[in-house]
Amino acid sequence: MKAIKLLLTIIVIAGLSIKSHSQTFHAIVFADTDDPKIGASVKRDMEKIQNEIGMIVSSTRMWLNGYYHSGREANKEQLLTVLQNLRCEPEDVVFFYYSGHGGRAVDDRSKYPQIRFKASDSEAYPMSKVDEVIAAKRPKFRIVMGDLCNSISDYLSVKSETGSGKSVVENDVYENLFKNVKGSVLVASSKSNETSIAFPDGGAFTTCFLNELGRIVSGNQQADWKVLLEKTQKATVKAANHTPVFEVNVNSGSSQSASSSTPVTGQQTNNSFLNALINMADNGGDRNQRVRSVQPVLHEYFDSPHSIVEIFGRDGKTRLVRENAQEFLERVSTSYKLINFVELDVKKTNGGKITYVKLHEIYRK
Amino acid sequence: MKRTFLILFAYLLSGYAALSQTPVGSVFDETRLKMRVKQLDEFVARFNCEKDVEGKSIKDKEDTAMRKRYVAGLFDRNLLVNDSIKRKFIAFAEKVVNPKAPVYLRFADSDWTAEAICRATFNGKQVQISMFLKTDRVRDDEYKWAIVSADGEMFNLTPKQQNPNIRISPVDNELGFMNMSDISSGENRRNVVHYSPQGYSPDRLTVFNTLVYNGLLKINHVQKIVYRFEQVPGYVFTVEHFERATGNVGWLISKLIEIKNEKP
Amino acid sequence: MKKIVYILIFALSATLFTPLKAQTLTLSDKEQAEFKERINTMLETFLNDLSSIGSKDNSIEFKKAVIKSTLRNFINNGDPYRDSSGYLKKEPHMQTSVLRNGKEYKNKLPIKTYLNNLMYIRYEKVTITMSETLYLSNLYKVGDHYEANATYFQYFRGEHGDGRLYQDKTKKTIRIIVQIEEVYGKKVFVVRFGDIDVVQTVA
Repeated sequence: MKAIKLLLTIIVIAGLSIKSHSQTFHAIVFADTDDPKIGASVKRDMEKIQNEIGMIVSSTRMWLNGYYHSGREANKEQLLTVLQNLRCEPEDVVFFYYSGHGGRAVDDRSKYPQIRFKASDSEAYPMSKVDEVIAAKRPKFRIVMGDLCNSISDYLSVKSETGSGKSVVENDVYENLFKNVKGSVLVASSKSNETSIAFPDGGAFTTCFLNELGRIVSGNQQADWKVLLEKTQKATVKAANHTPVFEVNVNSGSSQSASSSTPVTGQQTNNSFLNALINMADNGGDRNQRVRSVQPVLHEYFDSPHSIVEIFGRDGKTRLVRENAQEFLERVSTSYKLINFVELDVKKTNGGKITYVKLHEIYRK
Repeated sequence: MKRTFLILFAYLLSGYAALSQTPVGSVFDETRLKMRVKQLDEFVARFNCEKDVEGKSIKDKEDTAMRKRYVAGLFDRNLLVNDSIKRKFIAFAEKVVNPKAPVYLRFADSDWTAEAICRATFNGKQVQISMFLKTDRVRDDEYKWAIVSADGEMFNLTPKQQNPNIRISPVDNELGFMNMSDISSGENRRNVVHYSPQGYSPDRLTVFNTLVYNGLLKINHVQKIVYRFEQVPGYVFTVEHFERATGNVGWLISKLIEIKNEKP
Repeated sequence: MKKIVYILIFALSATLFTPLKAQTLTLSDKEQAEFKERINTMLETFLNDLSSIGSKDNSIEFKKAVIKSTLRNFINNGDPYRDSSGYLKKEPHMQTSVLRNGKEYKNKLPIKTYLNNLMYIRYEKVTITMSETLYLSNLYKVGDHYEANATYFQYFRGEHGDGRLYQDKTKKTIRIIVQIEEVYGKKVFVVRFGDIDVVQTVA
């Protein structure tokens, strides 16, 4: 009897410790969207970066642990908590992104600035320290990126090339940049004593970075972090007259990825609502089951069948579809090639039921 | 110069056939589909040099040479059977693009017509009729198609032979017009127009409307549409749809008539 | 009335927010491209839906759900409707023209009937492919809304269980109905489909 109990316990523990999913992409995004001066621009950065993260995980088939903090939640205490609680496996990838105010102390030696939530010195935290903390968690690959805007510009001198339509997963570029690599990337939007510029449609650095990344992906080009950041640097200097600084320590690494013949599907996340949608979408699930799951998902997550769902394009600002929750779920349950979603904004009742949600949809080719 | 242009003209038209190479594995020859004039809207856009074959706006609409190429591409190549006809078409194209008085087609123009050739049912029999439509202004910024006339056997009320003796006598009124019922009886009803004033010509649109209103004429479907354009001074041309396995396909100029003695 | 609202916001264009005086709605090149992309997406979805409805791999339950979703792309969900003056308008129809032995045969069905018939089609496998080429006409004002036509080409392939094959290529012209609505104080385009004309092509 004792032996049976022991065996059962081992089985349970083994079951708990076995990862039910493969590589994890930890996306930690902090955005100072409440700032009266640059908040609107920072919000645009966050939306575009979230959509990009959606594309990355859809293309690389990694599990997503998303930690998105904006507005009041974008503060030092929250950052420290997230970093402290971060748990990585050896094959995991960590992507840290910050958009907001930055600065440097008089005695700062690092070429990287400090994050300054609410433009306050008491809310400051060095980017290099973020990198250190994440490094100590020993993920396979980490990116620490900061668009630390100090100054707003009304002039549109760099055009965002992010499309306004849906996202379509097309090729292996994301795999080569985010999954099949080892090491680290650390980048900040400007060098010491320079001011980073925020445009109404997003930070200059973030816009240039996403433009260059978009070109590599759409052109199915050879992907290389050094080249990508050099191009970003050049574009940022041209557009906004400040020079991003970066360090790239990247080697090609192997990964436990599925073979390339495995169909691209939406992967699971730490967001149960998105998981429910992913299961309902065109990810190989039984079709009758997809259709039958409409009502249960509706009751589980939405306040009513009339709750509003808005679908936005890749740029996060072009509204493509507006429908009620019932119609949305029925559409998703019969959709073709729709594999993943990015949640850009949500409003809930006190009981946690959705009354409004803003999403971006990702399709496979 | 004209000979050079003829050669160039022929080359440009023949080029349409050379363009289409179906990429391996593709169901469609996309190049050919792009070249095809898919809608009348597209015909007008190319005639006016407003949109290219990709459907994108053309920046320099005043480029005469380019516009001539586009106009040339709108001819049904089967019409160009000899040099004389080709010269006629070249003259037409030059008239259209003449920088001093270029001609553009507009939806709101009153000098173009659509002829819808239809299958219909009249008196229980299958017949073919034509309905003629023109654009009609509803208000400042809004237009519609309006039926302006119709053609078909049932609209032809005038008998082949006129008989001056078929009439209502000047003294019939004193008899209470007692023979009025004869007008609509038997085969005599075909003489009804005789009982109208001298010079009367039946208005086909009114006849059409009356027949439809009273359920006597039922339109089944439209078989074909022919557009007739009179905007180019000295010319009338028609546009029809051609469906064939060549590059010269879609809505194309099917006939070009030169009108002599055009008004200055 | 429940409806799917396909929305296009053209933030940079002033013409959308002024009273619409022109007979056609003028869009800039960028707006035209975005609008075309939107129509392209809707049409791709529509064709995928047709494949799903016609496929024997799918249950009737799934097909009915797809039909319900597809019809939301059509004016008044594919039902007859009253315009702003109260006049009852017919539901959208699909008209097909087929050439057989040199003769043309036309058939016109309400879109709902067409889709329901498609559910019971006898092919083992149905593949429907859309051309990349898509032509979008100008948008013309019609009463309280705008209308345009989109033309594209479709390849249909139906395989029977015994190996017999039917395939054809057709030119499809679909009416696009665009209503301008106020959503959160902004003017947005609501796009729906109307009638569809299908003509068999030679090549």
